[in-house]
Amino acid sequence: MKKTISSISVVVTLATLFIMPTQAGAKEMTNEEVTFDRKLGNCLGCHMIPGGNLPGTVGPPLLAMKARFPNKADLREQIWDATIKNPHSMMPPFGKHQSLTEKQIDQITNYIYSK
Amino acid sequence: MKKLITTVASLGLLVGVASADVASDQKDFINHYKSILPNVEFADYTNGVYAVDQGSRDQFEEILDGIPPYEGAVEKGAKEYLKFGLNKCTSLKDPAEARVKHPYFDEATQQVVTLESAIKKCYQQQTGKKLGYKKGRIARISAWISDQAAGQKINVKVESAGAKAAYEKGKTFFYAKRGQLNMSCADCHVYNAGKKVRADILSPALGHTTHVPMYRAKWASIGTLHRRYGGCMKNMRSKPLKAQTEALRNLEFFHQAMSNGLEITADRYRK
Ligand code: HEC
Ligand code: HEC
Repeated sequence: MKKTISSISVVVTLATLFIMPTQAGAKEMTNEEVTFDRKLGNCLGCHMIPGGNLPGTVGPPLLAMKARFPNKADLREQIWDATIKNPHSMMPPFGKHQSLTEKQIDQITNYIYSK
Repeated sequence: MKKLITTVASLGLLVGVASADVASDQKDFINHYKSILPNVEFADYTNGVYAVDQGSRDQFEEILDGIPPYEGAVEKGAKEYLKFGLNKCTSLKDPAEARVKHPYFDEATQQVVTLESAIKKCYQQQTGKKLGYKKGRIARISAWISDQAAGQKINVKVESAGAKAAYEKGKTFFYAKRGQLNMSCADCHVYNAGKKVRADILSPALGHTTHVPMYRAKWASIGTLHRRYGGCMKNMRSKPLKAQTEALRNLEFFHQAMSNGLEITADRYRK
Protein backbone atom coordinates (compact mmCIF):
# COMPACT_ATOMS: atom_id res chain seq x y z
CA MET A 1 0.00 0.00 0.00
CA LYS A 2 2.73 2.38 1.00
CA LYS A 3 4.46 1.55 -2.25
CA THR A 4 1.34 2.41 -4.26
CA ILE A 5 1.02 5.72 -2.51
CA SER A 6 4.59 6.71 -3.19
CA SER A 7 4.38 5.69 -6.83
CA ILE A 8 1.18 7.65 -7.20
CA SER A 9 2.90 10.68 -5.78
CA VAL A 10 5.79 10.15 -8.18
CA VAL A 11 3.37 10.04 -11.07
CA VAL A 12 1.63 13.16 -9.84
CA THR A 13 4.95 14.97 -9.43
CA LEU A 14 6.08 13.94 -12.88
CA ALA A 15 2.78 14.94 -14.43
CA THR A 16 2.98 18.30 -12.72
CA LEU A 17 6.51 18.78 -14.00
CA PHE A 18 5.45 18.14 -17.54
CA ILE A 19 2.43 20.37 -17.36
CA MET A 20 4.34 23.10 -15.58
CA PRO A 21 6.13 24.77 -18.48
CA THR A 22 3.01 25.62 -20.42
CA GLN A 23 0.40 25.82 -17.71
CA ALA A 24 2.31 27.33 -14.83
CA GLY A 25 0.27 30.11 -13.38
CA ALA A 26 -1.80 30.15 -16.56
CA LYS A 27 -4.95 30.59 -14.53
CA GLU A 28 -3.89 33.93 -13.18
CA MET A 29 -2.13 35.17 -16.29
CA THR A 30 -3.78 37.89 -18.32
CA ASN A 31 -3.99 37.68 -22.10
CA GLU A 32 -1.24 40.25 -22.35
CA GLU A 33 1.02 38.31 -20.00
CA VAL A 34 0.62 35.10 -21.98
CA THR A 35 1.40 36.99 -25.20
CA PHE A 36 4.49 38.74 -23.85
CA ASP A 37 5.97 36.10 -21.51
CA ARG A 38 9.30 34.92 -22.90
CA LYS A 39 8.60 31.28 -22.04
CA LEU A 40 5.08 31.37 -23.51
CA GLY A 41 4.10 33.44 -26.58
CA ASN A 42 7.23 35.59 -26.61
CA CYS A 43 5.61 37.28 -29.60
CA LEU A 44 7.71 40.39 -28.94
CA GLY A 45 10.73 38.30 -29.80
CA CYS A 46 9.84 38.91 -33.45
CA HIS A 47 6.94 41.39 -33.61
CA MET A 48 6.32 44.95 -32.63
CA ILE A 49 3.09 45.01 -30.61
CA PRO A 50 1.67 48.27 -29.21
CA GLY A 51 2.35 48.32 -25.47
CA GLY A 52 5.32 45.93 -25.55
CA ASN A 53 8.99 46.80 -25.04
CA LEU A 54 12.11 45.79 -27.00
CA PRO A 55 10.38 44.16 -29.94
CA GLY A 56 12.28 42.09 -32.51
CA THR A 57 12.03 42.88 -36.22
CA VAL A 58 11.85 39.42 -37.78
CA GLY A 59 8.07 39.48 -38.28
CA PRO A 60 5.69 42.30 -39.32
CA PRO A 61 4.28 44.67 -36.67
CA LEU A 62 1.03 43.32 -35.23
CA LEU A 63 -1.28 46.25 -35.85
CA ALA A 64 -4.80 46.70 -37.19
CA MET A 65 -5.43 42.99 -36.88
CA LYS A 66 -9.19 43.24 -37.44
CA ALA A 67 -8.52 44.76 -40.85
CA ARG A 68 -5.78 42.24 -41.64
CA PHE A 69 -7.85 39.29 -40.43
CA PRO A 70 -11.57 39.92 -40.96
CA ASN A 71 -12.04 36.31 -39.96
CA LYS A 72 -10.69 35.81 -36.43
CA ALA A 73 -10.30 32.07 -36.98
CA ASP A 74 -7.64 32.82 -39.61
CA LEU A 75 -5.64 34.76 -37.04
CA ARG A 76 -5.90 31.87 -34.62
CA GLU A 77 -4.75 29.50 -37.33
CA GLN A 78 -1.70 31.68 -38.06
CA ILE A 79 -0.72 31.44 -34.39
CA TRP A 80 -1.56 27.73 -34.13
CA ASP A 81 0.59 26.83 -37.14
CA ALA A 82 2.27 29.53 -39.22
CA THR A 83 3.59 26.90 -41.63
CA ILE A 84 0.10 26.40 -43.10
CA LYS A 85 0.40 29.74 -44.90
CA ASN A 86 4.16 29.72 -45.31
CA PRO A 87 5.85 26.31 -45.11
CA HIS A 88 9.22 28.02 -44.57
CA SER A 89 7.95 30.38 -41.90
CA MET A 90 10.34 31.08 -39.07
CA MET A 91 7.38 31.66 -36.78
CA PRO A 92 7.07 28.70 -34.38
CA PRO A 93 3.97 26.50 -34.84
CA PHE A 94 2.77 27.08 -31.28
CA GLY A 95 -0.31 24.85 -31.41
CA LYS A 96 0.96 22.13 -33.69
CA HIS A 97 4.09 21.66 -31.57
CA GLN A 98 2.09 22.05 -28.36
CA SER A 99 4.31 24.83 -27.10
CA LEU A 100 1.13 26.51 -25.89
CA THR A 101 -2.19 25.12 -24.70
CA GLU A 102 -5.35 25.69 -26.74
CA LYS A 103 -6.52 28.05 -24.02
CA GLN A 104 -3.34 30.09 -24.19
CA ILE A 105 -3.70 30.33 -27.95
CA ASP A 106 -7.24 31.64 -27.47
CA GLN A 107 -5.93 34.19 -24.99
CA ILE A 108 -3.23 35.38 -27.38
CA THR A 109 -5.67 35.49 -30.32
CA ASN A 110 -8.00 37.69 -28.27
CA TYR A 111 -5.19 39.97 -27.21
CA ILE A 112 -3.70 40.39 -30.69
CA TYR A 113 -7.16 40.84 -32.20
CA SER A 114 -7.71 43.84 -29.95
CA LYS A 115 -4.64 45.58 -31.48
CA MET B 1 42.24 5.35 -76.32
CA LYS B 2 38.94 7.04 -76.80
CA LYS B 3 37.70 5.26 -73.71
CA LEU B 4 40.66 6.49 -71.71
CA ILE B 5 39.99 10.03 -72.77
CA THR B 6 36.36 9.89 -71.70
CA THR B 7 37.34 8.39 -68.34
CA VAL B 8 39.85 11.13 -67.77
CA ALA B 9 37.37 13.71 -68.87
CA SER B 10 34.63 12.42 -66.62
CA LEU B 11 37.08 12.15 -63.73
CA GLY B 12 38.01 15.74 -64.29
CA LEU B 13 34.34 16.59 -64.34
CA LEU B 14 33.72 14.73 -61.09
CA VAL B 15 36.55 16.49 -59.30
CA GLY B 16 35.41 19.74 -60.80
CA VAL B 17 31.89 19.22 -59.53
CA ALA B 18 33.03 18.16 -56.06
CA SER B 19 35.02 21.31 -55.40
CA ALA B 20 32.91 23.67 -57.46
CA ASP B 21 29.92 23.08 -55.22
CA VAL B 22 31.52 24.85 -52.27
CA ALA B 23 32.45 27.78 -54.46
CA SER B 24 28.98 28.03 -55.94
CA ASP B 25 27.26 27.59 -52.56
CA GLN B 26 29.46 30.35 -51.21
CA LYS B 27 28.67 32.57 -54.15
CA ASP B 28 24.95 32.17 -53.48
CA PHE B 29 25.61 32.91 -49.83
CA ILE B 30 27.55 36.07 -50.58
CA ASN B 31 25.01 37.29 -53.12
CA HIS B 32 22.23 36.81 -50.62
CA TYR B 33 24.02 38.92 -48.00
CA LYS B 34 24.83 41.54 -50.60
CA SER B 35 21.14 41.91 -51.26
CA ILE B 36 20.04 42.14 -47.62
CA LEU B 37 23.08 44.00 -46.24
CA PRO B 38 24.29 46.03 -49.21
CA ASN B 39 26.60 48.24 -47.16
CA VAL B 40 28.72 45.48 -45.64
CA GLU B 41 32.06 44.82 -47.36
CA PHE B 42 33.07 41.18 -47.77
CA ALA B 43 36.16 41.49 -45.53
CA ASP B 44 34.07 43.00 -42.74
CA TYR B 45 31.98 39.84 -42.24
CA THR B 46 34.85 38.72 -40.02
CA ASN B 47 33.34 41.04 -37.40
CA GLY B 48 29.92 39.38 -37.07
CA VAL B 49 27.20 41.59 -35.64
CA TYR B 50 29.67 44.49 -35.51
CA ALA B 51 29.75 44.60 -39.30
CA VAL B 52 26.01 45.22 -39.27
CA ASP B 53 25.34 47.62 -36.40
CA GLN B 54 27.36 50.76 -35.76
CA GLY B 55 26.27 51.19 -32.14
CA SER B 56 27.43 47.70 -31.25
CA ARG B 57 30.61 48.28 -33.23
CA ASP B 58 31.53 51.32 -31.16
CA GLN B 59 31.33 49.23 -27.98
CA PHE B 60 33.36 46.47 -29.61
CA GLU B 61 36.12 48.87 -30.62
CA GLU B 62 36.23 50.37 -27.17
CA ILE B 63 36.75 46.92 -25.70
CA LEU B 64 39.49 46.08 -28.20
CA ASP B 65 41.21 49.41 -27.47
CA GLY B 66 41.49 48.53 -23.81
CA ILE B 67 42.71 45.21 -22.46
CA PRO B 68 40.29 42.70 -24.00
CA PRO B 69 38.82 40.42 -21.33
CA TYR B 70 40.21 37.29 -23.00
CA GLU B 71 43.84 38.41 -23.15
CA GLY B 72 44.92 36.65 -19.96
CA ALA B 73 43.22 33.42 -20.99
CA VAL B 74 44.94 33.37 -24.39
CA GLU B 75 48.34 33.96 -22.74
CA LYS B 76 47.59 31.09 -20.41
CA GLY B 77 46.73 28.98 -23.46
CA ALA B 78 50.20 29.70 -24.87
CA LYS B 79 51.83 28.35 -21.71
CA GLU B 80 49.55 25.33 -21.63
CA TYR B 81 50.37 24.51 -25.25
CA LEU B 82 54.04 24.09 -24.30
CA LYS B 83 53.53 22.73 -20.81
CA PHE B 84 51.46 19.80 -22.05
CA GLY B 85 53.74 19.12 -24.99
CA LEU B 86 51.25 19.92 -27.74
CA ASN B 87 54.16 21.17 -29.86
CA LYS B 88 55.29 17.55 -30.04
CA CYS B 89 52.33 16.37 -32.12
CA THR B 90 52.72 16.66 -35.88
CA SER B 91 49.18 18.02 -36.18
CA LEU B 92 49.86 21.02 -33.91
CA LYS B 93 53.61 21.53 -34.14
CA ASP B 94 53.14 24.58 -36.37
CA PRO B 95 50.19 26.36 -34.73
CA ALA B 96 49.42 28.81 -37.55
CA GLU B 97 49.39 25.96 -40.03
CA ALA B 98 47.19 23.92 -37.70
CA ARG B 99 44.52 26.62 -37.58
CA VAL B 100 44.46 27.01 -41.34
CA LYS B 101 44.46 23.28 -42.01
CA HIS B 102 41.47 22.45 -39.78
CA PRO B 103 38.74 21.43 -40.24
CA TYR B 104 39.72 18.92 -42.88
CA PHE B 105 38.38 15.60 -44.10
CA ASP B 106 40.54 12.67 -43.09
CA GLU B 107 40.43 9.99 -45.77
CA ALA B 108 41.71 7.23 -43.47
CA THR B 109 38.87 7.57 -40.96
CA GLN B 110 36.36 9.17 -43.36
CA GLN B 111 35.70 11.80 -40.69
CA VAL B 112 36.01 15.56 -40.38
CA VAL B 113 38.87 16.49 -38.05
CA THR B 114 38.40 19.81 -36.28
CA LEU B 115 41.07 21.81 -34.48
CA GLU B 116 39.57 20.95 -31.10
CA SER B 117 39.42 17.25 -31.88
CA ALA B 118 43.12 17.39 -32.86
CA ILE B 119 43.97 19.26 -29.64
CA LYS B 120 42.12 16.75 -27.51
CA LYS B 121 43.79 13.80 -29.21
CA CYS B 122 47.26 15.29 -28.84
CA TYR B 123 46.63 16.27 -25.21
CA GLN B 124 45.59 12.71 -24.45
CA GLN B 125 48.69 11.29 -26.15
CA GLN B 126 50.99 13.63 -24.25
CA THR B 127 49.44 13.58 -20.81
CA GLY B 128 47.24 10.49 -20.72
CA LYS B 129 44.41 12.74 -19.57
CA LYS B 130 41.07 13.77 -20.99
CA LEU B 131 40.05 17.26 -22.00
CA GLY B 132 36.59 18.85 -22.27
CA TYR B 133 35.44 20.27 -25.60
CA LYS B 134 33.60 23.45 -24.75
CA LYS B 135 35.46 25.73 -22.38
CA GLY B 136 38.47 26.13 -20.13
CA ARG B 137 41.77 24.64 -21.19
CA ILE B 138 40.76 23.48 -24.68
CA ALA B 139 39.28 26.88 -25.52
CA ARG B 140 42.36 28.73 -24.22
CA ILE B 141 44.76 26.53 -26.18
CA SER B 142 42.65 26.65 -29.33
CA ALA B 143 42.40 30.46 -29.08
CA TRP B 144 46.16 30.81 -28.76
CA ILE B 145 46.77 28.46 -31.70
CA SER B 146 44.26 30.45 -33.77
CA ASP B 147 45.90 33.74 -32.83
CA GLN B 148 49.08 32.50 -34.53
CA ALA B 149 47.17 32.42 -37.83
CA ALA B 150 45.61 35.88 -37.47
CA GLY B 151 45.60 37.64 -40.83
CA GLN B 152 45.65 34.40 -42.81
CA LYS B 153 42.52 33.27 -44.59
CA ILE B 154 40.08 30.47 -43.94
CA ASN B 155 40.57 27.89 -46.65
CA VAL B 156 38.52 24.74 -46.14
CA LYS B 157 39.02 22.19 -48.89
CA VAL B 158 36.22 19.85 -49.89
CA GLU B 159 37.66 17.62 -52.57
CA SER B 160 37.05 13.87 -52.30
CA ALA B 161 33.70 12.13 -52.52
CA GLY B 162 33.85 11.43 -48.79
CA ALA B 163 34.55 15.08 -48.00
CA LYS B 164 31.74 16.13 -50.27
CA ALA B 165 29.32 13.82 -48.45
CA ALA B 166 30.34 15.19 -45.04
CA TYR B 167 29.97 18.74 -46.33
CA GLU B 168 26.50 17.97 -47.69
CA LYS B 169 25.44 16.53 -44.32
CA GLY B 170 26.64 19.68 -42.60
CA LYS B 171 24.80 21.84 -45.09
CA THR B 172 21.58 19.87 -44.63
CA PHE B 173 21.88 20.25 -40.87
CA PHE B 174 22.33 23.99 -41.24
CA TYR B 175 19.17 24.43 -43.29
CA ALA B 176 16.96 21.90 -41.47
CA LYS B 177 14.16 23.00 -39.18
CA ARG B 178 14.46 21.52 -35.72
CA GLY B 179 13.20 21.73 -32.16
CA GLN B 180 9.98 22.87 -30.62
CA LEU B 181 10.35 26.27 -32.30
CA ASN B 182 10.78 24.68 -35.72
CA MET B 183 13.72 26.84 -36.73
CA SER B 184 16.88 26.33 -38.73
CA CYS B 185 20.29 27.94 -38.29
CA ALA B 186 19.61 29.62 -41.63
CA ASP B 187 16.32 31.13 -40.40
CA CYS B 188 18.28 33.31 -37.99
CA HIS B 189 21.71 33.65 -39.57
CA VAL B 190 20.88 33.71 -43.30
CA TYR B 191 17.33 34.88 -44.02
CA ASN B 192 17.03 37.23 -41.06
CA ALA B 193 20.64 38.33 -40.57
CA GLY B 194 20.76 41.95 -39.48
CA LYS B 195 17.25 41.82 -38.01
CA LYS B 196 16.48 41.69 -34.33
CA VAL B 197 15.16 38.90 -32.16
CA ARG B 198 14.17 40.91 -29.12
CA ALA B 199 17.18 43.12 -28.49
CA ASP B 200 19.68 40.75 -30.16
CA ILE B 201 20.86 41.54 -33.67
CA LEU B 202 21.30 38.39 -35.72
CA SER B 203 24.77 37.96 -37.20
CA PRO B 204 25.32 36.69 -40.75
CA ALA B 205 26.66 33.12 -40.92
CA LEU B 206 29.24 34.37 -43.40
CA GLY B 207 32.26 35.03 -41.17
CA HIS B 208 30.90 33.10 -38.20
CA THR B 209 34.03 31.02 -37.78
CA THR B 210 36.80 33.61 -38.16
CA HIS B 211 37.18 34.48 -34.48
CA VAL B 212 36.63 31.14 -32.78
CA PRO B 213 36.97 30.23 -29.97
CA MET B 214 35.15 33.39 -28.93
CA TYR B 215 34.94 35.26 -25.67
CA ARG B 216 31.37 36.06 -24.72
CA ALA B 217 30.36 38.61 -22.13
CA LYS B 218 27.39 36.38 -21.31
CA TRP B 219 29.71 33.46 -20.55
CA ALA B 220 32.38 35.70 -19.00
CA SER B 221 34.88 33.27 -20.56
CA ILE B 222 36.09 31.86 -23.85
CA GLY B 223 34.17 29.02 -25.44
CA THR B 224 34.60 26.91 -28.54
CA LEU B 225 32.43 27.05 -31.65
CA HIS B 226 30.68 23.88 -30.51
CA ARG B 227 29.80 25.49 -27.18
CA ARG B 228 28.02 28.18 -29.17
CA TYR B 229 26.29 25.52 -31.31
CA GLY B 230 24.91 24.07 -28.09
CA GLY B 231 23.59 27.48 -27.02
CA CYS B 232 21.85 28.09 -30.32
CA MET B 233 20.30 24.62 -30.32
CA LYS B 234 18.86 25.50 -26.91
CA ASN B 235 17.52 28.76 -28.36
CA MET B 236 15.61 26.66 -30.86
CA ARG B 237 14.35 24.47 -28.00
CA SER B 238 16.05 21.56 -29.65
CA LYS B 239 18.03 19.03 -27.60
CA PRO B 240 21.66 20.17 -27.95
CA LEU B 241 23.93 17.59 -29.54
CA LYS B 242 27.20 16.92 -27.77
CA ALA B 243 30.18 19.02 -28.82
CA GLN B 244 32.30 17.32 -31.50
CA THR B 245 29.80 14.62 -32.39
CA GLU B 246 29.95 13.68 -36.05
CA ALA B 247 26.91 15.79 -36.94
CA LEU B 248 28.44 18.91 -35.43
CA ARG B 249 31.84 18.29 -37.00
CA ASN B 250 30.10 18.04 -40.37
CA LEU B 251 28.19 21.24 -39.57
CA GLU B 252 31.49 22.96 -38.77
CA PHE B 253 32.97 21.70 -42.06
CA PHE B 254 30.19 23.38 -44.03
CA HIS B 255 30.03 26.43 -41.77
CA GLN B 256 33.78 27.15 -41.98
CA ALA B 257 33.85 26.53 -45.74
CA MET B 258 31.24 29.25 -46.17
CA SER B 259 33.80 31.68 -44.69
CA ASN B 260 36.58 30.71 -47.11
CA GLY B 261 38.63 33.74 -48.07
CA LEU B 262 37.86 35.69 -44.90
CA GLU B 263 40.63 36.61 -42.48
CA ILE B 264 41.16 34.69 -39.28
CA THR B 265 41.15 37.24 -36.49
CA ALA B 266 42.38 37.48 -32.90
CA ASP B 267 39.54 39.90 -32.04
CA ARG B 268 37.43 37.28 -30.37
CA TYR B 269 35.04 39.41 -28.32
CA ARG B 270 31.26 39.01 -28.61
CA LYS B 271 28.36 40.07 -26.44
C1 HEC C 1 10.74 33.65 -34.36
C2 HEC C 1 9.94 34.66 -34.95
C3 HEC C 1 8.47 34.79 -34.62
C4 HEC C 1 7.81 34.63 -33.42
C5 HEC C 1 8.37 34.25 -32.07
C6 HEC C 1 6.42 34.93 -33.69
N1 HEC C 1 6.26 35.26 -35.00
FE1 HEC C 1 4.52 35.82 -35.91
N2 HEC C 1 5.47 35.97 -37.69
C7 HEC C 1 6.83 35.79 -37.89
C8 HEC C 1 7.12 35.99 -39.31
C9 HEC C 1 8.52 35.87 -39.93
C10 HEC C 1 5.91 36.30 -39.94
C11 HEC C 1 5.70 36.62 -41.44
C12 HEC C 1 4.89 35.57 -42.14
C13 HEC C 1 5.56 34.21 -42.11
O1 HEC C 1 6.71 34.07 -42.55
O2 HEC C 1 4.93 33.28 -41.62
C14 HEC C 1 4.90 36.27 -38.89
C15 HEC C 1 3.56 36.53 -39.13
C16 HEC C 1 2.60 36.66 -38.12
C17 HEC C 1 1.23 37.05 -38.34
C18 HEC C 1 0.60 37.39 -39.68
C19 HEC C 1 0.74 38.86 -39.89
C20 HEC C 1 0.09 39.33 -41.14
O3 HEC C 1 -0.22 40.50 -41.17
O4 HEC C 1 -0.07 38.53 -42.07
C21 HEC C 1 0.62 37.08 -37.13
C22 HEC C 1 -0.82 37.44 -36.83
C23 HEC C 1 1.60 36.68 -36.15
N3 HEC C 1 2.79 36.44 -36.78
C24 HEC C 1 1.35 36.58 -34.80
C25 HEC C 1 2.28 36.10 -33.87
C26 HEC C 1 1.96 35.87 -32.47
C27 HEC C 1 0.63 36.18 -31.84
C28 HEC C 1 3.09 35.38 -31.90
C29 HEC C 1 3.29 34.89 -30.49
C30 HEC C 1 2.39 33.91 -29.99
C31 HEC C 1 4.11 35.31 -32.93
N4 HEC C 1 3.58 35.76 -34.11
C32 HEC C 1 5.41 34.89 -32.72
C33 HEC C 1 7.75 35.47 -36.93
C34 HEC C 1 7.48 35.19 -35.60
C1 HEC D 1 16.32 31.91 -32.71
C2 HEC D 1 17.39 32.45 -33.50
C3 HEC D 1 18.65 31.61 -33.69
C4 HEC D 1 18.78 30.37 -34.26
C5 HEC D 1 17.68 29.49 -34.83
C6 HEC D 1 20.20 30.07 -34.26
N1 HEC D 1 20.90 31.09 -33.69
FE1 HEC D 1 22.92 31.29 -33.64
N2 HEC D 1 22.72 33.07 -32.65
C7 HEC D 1 21.53 33.69 -32.34
C8 HEC D 1 21.78 34.91 -31.60
C9 HEC D 1 20.72 35.88 -31.09
C10 HEC D 1 23.19 35.01 -31.49
C11 HEC D 1 23.98 36.14 -30.80
C12 HEC D 1 24.09 37.31 -31.70
C13 HEC D 1 24.85 36.97 -32.94
O1 HEC D 1 26.08 37.00 -32.94
O2 HEC D 1 24.19 36.58 -33.94
C14 HEC D 1 23.75 33.86 -32.18
C15 HEC D 1 25.11 33.62 -32.35
C16 HEC D 1 25.65 32.57 -33.07
C17 HEC D 1 27.06 32.39 -33.32
C18 HEC D 1 28.18 33.30 -32.85
C19 HEC D 1 28.39 34.40 -33.84
C20 HEC D 1 29.58 35.23 -33.52
O3 HEC D 1 29.87 36.16 -34.30
O4 HEC D 1 30.27 34.97 -32.54
C21 HEC D 1 27.19 31.24 -34.06
C22 HEC D 1 28.49 30.65 -34.56
C23 HEC D 1 25.85 30.71 -34.25
N3 HEC D 1 24.94 31.54 -33.64
C24 HEC D 1 25.57 29.55 -34.95
C25 HEC D 1 24.29 28.99 -35.06
C26 HEC D 1 24.01 27.69 -35.63
C27 HEC D 1 25.05 26.76 -36.23
C28 HEC D 1 22.68 27.48 -35.52
C29 HEC D 1 21.87 26.25 -35.83
C30 HEC D 1 22.27 25.02 -35.16
C31 HEC D 1 22.11 28.68 -34.94
N4 HEC D 1 23.11 29.56 -34.66
C32 HEC D 1 20.75 28.89 -34.74
C33 HEC D 1 20.27 33.24 -32.68
C34 HEC D 1 19.98 32.05 -33.31
